[in-house]
Amino acid sequence: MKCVVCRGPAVIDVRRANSNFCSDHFIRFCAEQVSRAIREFKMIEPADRVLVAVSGGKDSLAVWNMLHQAGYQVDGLYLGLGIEGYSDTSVAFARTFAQSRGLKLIEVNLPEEYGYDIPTGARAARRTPCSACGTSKRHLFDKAALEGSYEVLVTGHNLDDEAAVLFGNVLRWQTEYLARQMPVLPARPGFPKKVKPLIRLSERDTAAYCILMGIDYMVEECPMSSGNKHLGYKEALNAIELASPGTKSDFYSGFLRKASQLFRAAYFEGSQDPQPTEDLTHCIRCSAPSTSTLCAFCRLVDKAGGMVTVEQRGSSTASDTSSAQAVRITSRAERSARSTKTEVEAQT
Amino acid sequence: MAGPALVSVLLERLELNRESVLVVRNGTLVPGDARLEDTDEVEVRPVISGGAFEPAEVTPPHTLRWNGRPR
Repeated sequence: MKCVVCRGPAVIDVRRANSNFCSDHFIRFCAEQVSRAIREFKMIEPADRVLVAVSGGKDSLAVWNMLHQAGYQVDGLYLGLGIEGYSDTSVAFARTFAQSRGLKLIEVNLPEEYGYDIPTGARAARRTPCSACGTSKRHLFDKAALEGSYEVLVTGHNLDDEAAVLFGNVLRWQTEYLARQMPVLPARPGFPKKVKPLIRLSERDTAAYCILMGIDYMVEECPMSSGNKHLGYKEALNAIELASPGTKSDFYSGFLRKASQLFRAAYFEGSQDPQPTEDLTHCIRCSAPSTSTLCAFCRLVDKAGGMVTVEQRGSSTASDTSSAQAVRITSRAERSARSTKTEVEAQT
Repeated sequence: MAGPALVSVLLERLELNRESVLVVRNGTLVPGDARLEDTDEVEVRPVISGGAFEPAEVTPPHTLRWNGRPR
């Protein structure tokens, strides 16, 4: 198998592009795909300060590396989820990556700063772990980007992620979700601009990129995501992709080119903004945009905050450890008071 | 499984989808037509990750009584 560019020995085949690449030309291919996505969807301006949501996995480290190499001012944000046997390892990959390149990594730790972790949070709120995790991530990523005055928040969602979400939305005809599924969400009051520069790369590509670039990443899957329906959708799409290479890419890019506009127009009655704000008010506690008086994150903190002490978790972040003296808070009133205080402190 | 064998054959035997894994031979990424020997150290690395945390929680706009499932 030979590289389509230089005819040297290939290390990977990219069947949807009908191409094989050597190491150097594959890395160049990945960088070009990211650059094209950024240009096509006007994701990032050269002068923008960029914050990448980093998990320690292949996608977030790959996109961080590519944006850094492309010359963007880009810092990382790691959210410690308190998942035993997973979070401690994943943060180490994020730290090692940042230190080796002299990049800034901001760390936020859920158990230390909000008194819950994802497993207990999900149980307390009677939700799936991925749901509690999503609520926490969305809120805290937005908060960190706004407080740090970053122009753009980058996530490592790749082609497989987007195709799987699209597949799920179509299977259940989630028309509002379809209207909102865009690789760029513009900034608006209370929300940073959010972009997904990896939409043209599969997760096989980002894994190969990390291996070839010598980036160590967390290979193990989050134990909480086992049985996650998106994993099932990905497997189904990969079965189709095996028989018909390029289907995943056509499915997602075709949606963006031909259908997403129609869903937006139908759902938002002609508005071009995929996130209309007319229904939003502000959370009375943290001021984040919300559809109810308390935002989803503050409701989660009310239910789960104080259920995990730092001693229990044996937390090990680089942030202030003085809160390690936290005691187990049991009553709802106390939990509420504590979470209010935490929010106020966090805002100041 | 005894070598020598092509990467593509190995994946077929293991019933793995080539879209879902990468094969690393002696620390180096190799394509489907690479030949694996008995002495090689081979890693088959899964690339699928889950936990996509979108979409945002919003109330569905139109609520129909019938959800399409048999009652």
